[in-house]
Amino acid sequence: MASGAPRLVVGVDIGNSTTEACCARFDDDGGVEYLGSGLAPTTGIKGTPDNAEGVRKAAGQALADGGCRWPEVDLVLTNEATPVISGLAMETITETVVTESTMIGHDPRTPGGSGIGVGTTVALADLADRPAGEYVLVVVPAAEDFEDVAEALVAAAHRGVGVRGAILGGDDAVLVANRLEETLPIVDEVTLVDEVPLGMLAAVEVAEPGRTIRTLSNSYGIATLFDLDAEQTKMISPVARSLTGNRSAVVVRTPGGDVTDRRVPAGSIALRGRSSTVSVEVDAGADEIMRALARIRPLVDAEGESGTHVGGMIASVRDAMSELTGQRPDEVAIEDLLAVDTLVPQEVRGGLAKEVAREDAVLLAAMVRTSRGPMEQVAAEVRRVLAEEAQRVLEVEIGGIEAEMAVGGALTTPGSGEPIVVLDLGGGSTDAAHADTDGEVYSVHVAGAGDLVTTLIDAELGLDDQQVAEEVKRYPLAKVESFFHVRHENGTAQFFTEPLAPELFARVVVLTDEGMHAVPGRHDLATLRHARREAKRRVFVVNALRALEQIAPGGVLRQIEFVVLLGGSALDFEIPDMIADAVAPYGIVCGTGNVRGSLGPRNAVASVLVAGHARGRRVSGAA
Amino acid sequence: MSAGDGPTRPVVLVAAAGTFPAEVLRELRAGLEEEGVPHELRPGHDDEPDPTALAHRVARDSPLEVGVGLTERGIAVHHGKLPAGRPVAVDPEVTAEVARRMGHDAARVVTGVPLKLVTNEDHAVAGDGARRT
Repeated sequence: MASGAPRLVVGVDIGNSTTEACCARFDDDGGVEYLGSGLAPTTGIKGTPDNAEGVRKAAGQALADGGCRWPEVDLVLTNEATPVISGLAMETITETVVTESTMIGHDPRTPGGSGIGVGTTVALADLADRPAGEYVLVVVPAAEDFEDVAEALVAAAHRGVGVRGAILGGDDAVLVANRLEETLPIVDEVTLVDEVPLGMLAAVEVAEPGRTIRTLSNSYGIATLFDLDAEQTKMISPVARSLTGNRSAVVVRTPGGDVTDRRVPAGSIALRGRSSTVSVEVDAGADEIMRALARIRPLVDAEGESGTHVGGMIASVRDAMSELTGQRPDEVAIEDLLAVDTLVPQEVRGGLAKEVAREDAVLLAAMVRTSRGPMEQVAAEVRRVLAEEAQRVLEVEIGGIEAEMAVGGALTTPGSGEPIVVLDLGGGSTDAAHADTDGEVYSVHVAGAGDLVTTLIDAELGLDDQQVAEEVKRYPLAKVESFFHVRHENGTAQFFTEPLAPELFARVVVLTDEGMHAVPGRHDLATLRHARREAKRRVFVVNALRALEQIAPGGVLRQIEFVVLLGGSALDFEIPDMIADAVAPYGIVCGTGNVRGSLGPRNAVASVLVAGHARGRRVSGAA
Repeated sequence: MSAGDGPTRPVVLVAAAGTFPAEVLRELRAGLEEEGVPHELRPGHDDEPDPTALAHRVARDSPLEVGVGLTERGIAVHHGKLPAGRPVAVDPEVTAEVARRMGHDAARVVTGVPLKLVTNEDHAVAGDGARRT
């Protein structure tokens, strides 16, 4: 190179979700001094001109971090950006449908009384007209006063009416129960109490505090109460199942009523490999799909049976990807799939108190590796945007093979060595690159990463809020036990001198960087923690092993000595440990990378871009 | 009134001062009863118009460390260990609905159940130090 050789160089790595940058100064001997680093969310799809804004931000941060200004920059280096795009779809494959309202199985915090009562449903207003000797369950609208209700029940009992229990709209069960002369089961907070069918045989059950119902959660228990035959018992069994674990429940026998535990025709998925195609029923579960996939790998494309749920799922993934890439849906080839079984709480159709049943669902993550983006266009746009910053034309160079650079960057982690595998734990895909002792680099991308974990957490906990799910994924949990202390999920207590907000009292909270946020809903800490860890295990541990098997020499994991974790999820507080535990039996050293001994799992590619340029300079300088 | 001769039974103390509809006190007590937590009534004085201060006073006498103050100027739930100016909940509206909720929340502080509160609970009782600093 000529005498006007670049002195301040910025390296930029445009990733699928994050753009990382570093800046470095070269001395005359080609030595490199790294000055600063920065990162920003990738703007647009990786490998498109939209990326320029993210580059401006990340590089600007790196310069500011290094105490440099744009006009001093001599050269900007960026990577070849091959976008890996991933899509997600979820379908429940079972559904509990209650027609003509046959059950109310919810868990009000404070039901009243205890025991089981069987009788005909009667509106409170009609109670006075019921003859002596009839067994009744009284249905009470929310607006009724608890003292009036109790009085009416007591008066009816005195007349000889067999009052066996009550179903209340309001939160008054304990109040009413306390004012009766005998102990009766009372269920309250039934939101749609006005829709409880009247004149029907029904049963109310309330368990003692700390217990769960025993009769209405047992198919034969219901059959005994209602004198059902074998055929009818089969029909009622989904009701019993969905009432399991409740402290209280109501079952109404409506003659035309029907509860079905419908299995939705999930359909089959055709996995096309290079030489053969395998078809798997989605009903068979995620494990079966993944086993079939392993048999035909590498996957060329996947098709869902049309007119079925899986057909819809694959089509929606394809549509989403074609929208992103501008390719026609039929041009989008799915190159990897991750199927995960899950249980999703769904409101029961036809329920009366927002009852929830846990339905089987399958989550699919699909991945498409598109054709290499028009990098010259990207470079041109980056040049234009950065010229605004520098007030002059900047030289922008594209270079380097991403996987090679990731490996190079990972190897700057102290203590790492070859043969090495880099696992990049991203948002949409988990990427692995392997360098053998000859320096030859292979790479593989598998579908499913951080975004899938968030979706799984969201779905399984029924949060219906991606942001909350993201926080549950990202931060440890604690239970606020008083106004002055919390108990962390590992059991340690922490005292606060400043009282905690009443909104947090007795809640499970996530310990975010901005303080405690209450997790909505009634899940306890153990449930939340289990869902979080299981989601991470089923995505990252499964994918780490999948990627390593595909990339290890001969598929033998023992051939790998070092695994270095990079990417955003390598910063997670438990994912690296979970992966390290999973690969430990193969004698693999695994941990979060520390690029250049100081940057953690960040900036590997950007650093190598700059270092590579330095080497190039030395070589050309010598020539 | 001498401090320290509070009840020996585990109860939430409810203090009412001034005039208010009878159903308000009834609903307040119903909220506590529905949650299964016992309570006792304590007289308030006419020179205690601030529900927060009243709630705090009886909370400090309650073996469960929870008190409710009901005056013409509002209803407050307090905990004996909290600073006087920072009640668990306070609402300037003296209605049956608010009273029921306050009854539930007073009981829930004892049983360790998440509070009902209200989404917009930054009602400050005029000049009574109910504001957070």
